[in-house]
Amino acid sequence: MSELETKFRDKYDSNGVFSTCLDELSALVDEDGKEEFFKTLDIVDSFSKDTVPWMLKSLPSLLARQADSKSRLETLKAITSIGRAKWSAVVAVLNNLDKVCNTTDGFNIEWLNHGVKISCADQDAAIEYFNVSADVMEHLGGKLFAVWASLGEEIATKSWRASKEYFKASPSVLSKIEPGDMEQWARLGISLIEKSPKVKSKHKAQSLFAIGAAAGQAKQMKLGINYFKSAPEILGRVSISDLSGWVEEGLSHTDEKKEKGEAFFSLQTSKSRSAVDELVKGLELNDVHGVLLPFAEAFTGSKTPIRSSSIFYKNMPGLSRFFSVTDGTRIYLPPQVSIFADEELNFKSYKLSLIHEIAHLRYNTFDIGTKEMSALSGSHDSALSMKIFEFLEDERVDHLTVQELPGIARDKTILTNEFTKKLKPDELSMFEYLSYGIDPQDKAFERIDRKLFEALKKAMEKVKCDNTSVMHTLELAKSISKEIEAGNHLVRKTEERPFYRGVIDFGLIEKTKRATEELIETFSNRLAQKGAEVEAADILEAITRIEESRGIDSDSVLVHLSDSEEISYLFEETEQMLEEMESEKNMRRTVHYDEWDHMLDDYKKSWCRVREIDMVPTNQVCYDAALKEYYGVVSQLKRHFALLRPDRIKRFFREERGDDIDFDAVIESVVERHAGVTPSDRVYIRREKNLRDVSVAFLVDMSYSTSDELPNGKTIMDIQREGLVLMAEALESIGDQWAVYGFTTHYRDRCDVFVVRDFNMPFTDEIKKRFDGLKPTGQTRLGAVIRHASSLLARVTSRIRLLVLLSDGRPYDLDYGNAKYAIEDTRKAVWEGQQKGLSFYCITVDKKSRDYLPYMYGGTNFSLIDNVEALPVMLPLIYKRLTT
Amino acid sequence: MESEVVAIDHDAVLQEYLVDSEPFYLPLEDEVDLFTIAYEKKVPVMLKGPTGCGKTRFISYMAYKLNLPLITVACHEDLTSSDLVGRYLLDGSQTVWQDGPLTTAVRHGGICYLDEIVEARKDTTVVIHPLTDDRRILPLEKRAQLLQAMDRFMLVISYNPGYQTVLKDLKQSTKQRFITLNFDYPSAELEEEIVMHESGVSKKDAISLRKIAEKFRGMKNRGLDEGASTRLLIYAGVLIKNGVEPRRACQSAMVDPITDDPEMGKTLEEIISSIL
Ligand SMILES: Nc1ncnc2c1ncn2[C@@H]1O[C@H](COP(=O)(O)OP(=O)(O)O)[C@@H](O)[C@H]1O
Ligand SMILES: [Mg+2]
Repeated sequence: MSELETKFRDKYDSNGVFSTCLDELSALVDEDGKEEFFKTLDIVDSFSKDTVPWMLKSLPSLLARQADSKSRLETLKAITSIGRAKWSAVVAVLNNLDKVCNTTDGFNIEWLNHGVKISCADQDAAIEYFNVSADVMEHLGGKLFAVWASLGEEIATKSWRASKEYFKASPSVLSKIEPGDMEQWARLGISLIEKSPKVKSKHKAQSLFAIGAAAGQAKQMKLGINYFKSAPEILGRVSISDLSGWVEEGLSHTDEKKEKGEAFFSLQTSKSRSAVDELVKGLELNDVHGVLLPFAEAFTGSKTPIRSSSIFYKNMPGLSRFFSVTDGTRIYLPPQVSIFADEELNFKSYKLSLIHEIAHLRYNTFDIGTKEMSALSGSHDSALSMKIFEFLEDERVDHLTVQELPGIARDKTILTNEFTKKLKPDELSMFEYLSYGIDPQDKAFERIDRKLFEALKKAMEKVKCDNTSVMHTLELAKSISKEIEAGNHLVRKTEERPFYRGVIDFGLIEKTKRATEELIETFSNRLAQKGAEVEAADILEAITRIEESRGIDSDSVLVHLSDSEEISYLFEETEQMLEEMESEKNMRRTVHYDEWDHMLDDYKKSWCRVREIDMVPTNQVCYDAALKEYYGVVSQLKRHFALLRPDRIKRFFREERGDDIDFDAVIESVVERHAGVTPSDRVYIRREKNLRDVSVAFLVDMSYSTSDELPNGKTIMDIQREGLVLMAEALESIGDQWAVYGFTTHYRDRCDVFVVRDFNMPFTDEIKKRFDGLKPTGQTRLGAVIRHASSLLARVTSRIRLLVLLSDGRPYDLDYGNAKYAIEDTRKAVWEGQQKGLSFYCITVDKKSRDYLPYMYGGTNFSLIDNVEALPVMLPLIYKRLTT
Repeated sequence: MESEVVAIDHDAVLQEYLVDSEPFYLPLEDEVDLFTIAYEKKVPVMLKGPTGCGKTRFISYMAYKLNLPLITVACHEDLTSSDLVGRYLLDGSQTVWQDGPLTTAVRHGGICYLDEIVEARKDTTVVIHPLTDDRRILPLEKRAQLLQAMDRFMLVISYNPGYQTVLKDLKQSTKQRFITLNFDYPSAELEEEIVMHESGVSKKDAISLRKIAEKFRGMKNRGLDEGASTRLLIYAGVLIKNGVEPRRACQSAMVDPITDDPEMGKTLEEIISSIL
């Protein structure tokens, strides 16, 4: 017995695990093999004791799956050397070994040997490699897998980070491109990694800090990293050959400025996105989604999400298109349509596909299910029977659609004509001949079974009645299947569907229904355990919204998730969403705003999500307390401000029209008439309400820092609130339009603007109770908040529109870049508002802000209040100065 | 000097406002009865509902039925209380008082219909308050008079809650002075008949137009603020009747008026071209 064996027997054989493992192992490998195994155990043992028993249990059965003791030994050797690089990589190997064995081409020792090489370059990359292997193998097959892995090694030696992204992106990329294009995709990335140092070398010569090649490289490599990161998204849209065009454009930006290049390859800039857009051929679902979604809902009368069908189908050349399909709720459409050269025709084709899927839903194709359909599978050629059923059912629902929507018939004719024009007649399939109503020439019947053709033609007439149901179709399909059973039918190419028709998938319908119910049940139980009673409909709504937020071409359908970790994660998200839905009862709306990135010199599109929420009224204690404390000041202010109130009515004399007569003018006019001069007819006094035309919105910082206590025991927030109370009283007496918004932010998708009072809300006790809700909570992402407040203020039509910002520090949020970034974005937001004719003013108590305030708000548009406690009294005075 | 003064001849004044032939109106529910009772009991009425669903048509029908003059004021932002009540004008070298439309109705009897009352400024609308309680008086400040309303006087306002925003809403104190008749788009059959009658299109076209409208109305709050009104359907019908290509007619009568958003416009256009 070797030293190691004794060690492990002592340590891990308390319940016989070790002995059992060893017994099993003895049957599989020789002594060398055992020793190798102990070595691996030793490595893992020194890092993670919990993992050892697991290894003891699982390894023998995994080894048993390999052919002979030689390959088992090799496997063990490879695992040991991987373990030397990082013990957790061993776990990744063992976790995936089973999956890899189960792939079509099965386990191959080369899989591990590549892993060994990659783990020499970087362990994390190796872990990523092991995790995606099984998936990639299914896509590529054994031969190309080796190429893929070698390319990964090559990338790993150049940049381990890029290789990590390469492995991570591979499954998703390979689901979108042909296996043969894989190498080109990888090579583009490699060339990008190689090219980056050249781009940099210009600067490197002059840079004192660039000592050695490595110094500059860490940064440059990012181009490659970002390229691999973005690949899955781009390759869903453009072909591999167009991708190189995009890469070139990216490099040209990199020449200008390093950060620009990086941002380009990570798809963060609008330039980069529009470069992708230009490369896209045909019409994309993304572009027409906004039109199709309300269109679908107008016809279904309910929420009908539209998603990309790329989730189910690959863009394979043989099929030449993605299919559409429905799962009973969602409709999946091809991510792009490029059947026609003309955009409008491609759009019509989208519309036709959509209306066809809707027709299945509206005319109850799914009244039957897999159970009824099994009647067809018993037939001689079940795939053909299914095709026959599908064809007849498609004809049935299309007929009903056209009955109700004659316009669709016209579109269909136009499209069919265009479509068939491009083809030679003998290229059509049997189903196409029938559906388009084109008579095949005799020659075509070399390919097409005449008997089947005639049978279908007759059946078609039968389904095209007004009172049919899917049951009729099924019966017809059954009898045709039986009829042709004996014959010898040529179906090969005859299976092609008319171009706009998708697939009927009863399995998907049922699976979705079941999965949805199960998921809702699971979640509702979990919620119940936590003491929350939530309606099933609300859970469904929450999940639907999460799905919506992931976009139309996210690569999962949430209700179909099976991975328990992902489900747990979804559960957390659902809880958050339910909370959000709850708070939405007070929510007025959400809006997205761009954010300015001065480094990119460009906006980041729809970067921040602002939620506009009604502040909940709680109590009036604060409000009344402030009034009481400042009693003298308030009455003085009121008097003061009332004096500013202009004469209510202004009179205009000598007007053509008006409510009163201007006697001076009348007398003159009479005199003129007597003197024989044409008298003036401007003899009226017109009266006009002379409103002081000022609207002001106060935007109040509710960030944590406002909870700082002052010497007098109040917090900054207390002081701000008092200031606003005095302001409110003063504004009511002067009659200006006013609004108060509080704000707090927490990352870019949670910028909350609380409406304490909006313009023209009656100033009731309910509103006074809302002031209490101004409490310190989050951060200060000023840009987004200013943009939103500006759009609220821009609704009113006053001559003077003023936004007053009350703040205690610099703009800041957890993901708001550095100080410079935040200041630049704020400045931009202010500038945008000024372009709309709004005025800005900032009142702050932060002494350090003197440096950047003039820069953000311009010249003199700010006050710095040294004595914070004086803010309540100062505020109305500043306001008065600003508006008179 | 040209004077705009109307001769003070009561009958002539009213004559002008009489509805001389029976307007075509298909009752939706019991609104005709309710209105008649309100008139008899001297209760002011508010017609509430989206624009173009027949409120104006209803009121002229009722005016005809009850044989009352109908004085309509389309309210707008610049409407002053003098515009409603009246003002002094010059006639030669004399001043002459001219009644505003509201005063005319109060003084001589008839329905005064203030259309889209929210559009008027709030301080203008308060002049109607004393007319809506049982005093039924109208103060003429400039003449220092209190005018008692005739028995045959009736005040009717219309109000479209769809426009309601914080910036523009009717005061509760105003709303609560009226009994309310709710109007909505007519049912499918009625609407088809109305469209056929008003525009002269065939039954088939009327059905298509109605179907389109149905789809549009279903999209309210899913991208549209307001569905297509009966009035717009009639406009589309009129264009079709006069030889305009149907899809073009719908585009300009039913899409462009209700949305400025190009994407939504395209969606609506596609709905139309599917149905026609
Ligand atoms: N119930 C109805 N009977 C007859 N015509 C109607 C009816 N409802 C609507 N209409 C037609 O619709 C048009 C628009 O209605 P209208 O009364 O002007 O709308 P509103 O005043 O509600 O904005 C009318 O001119 C009329 O032709
Ligand atoms: Mg189909």
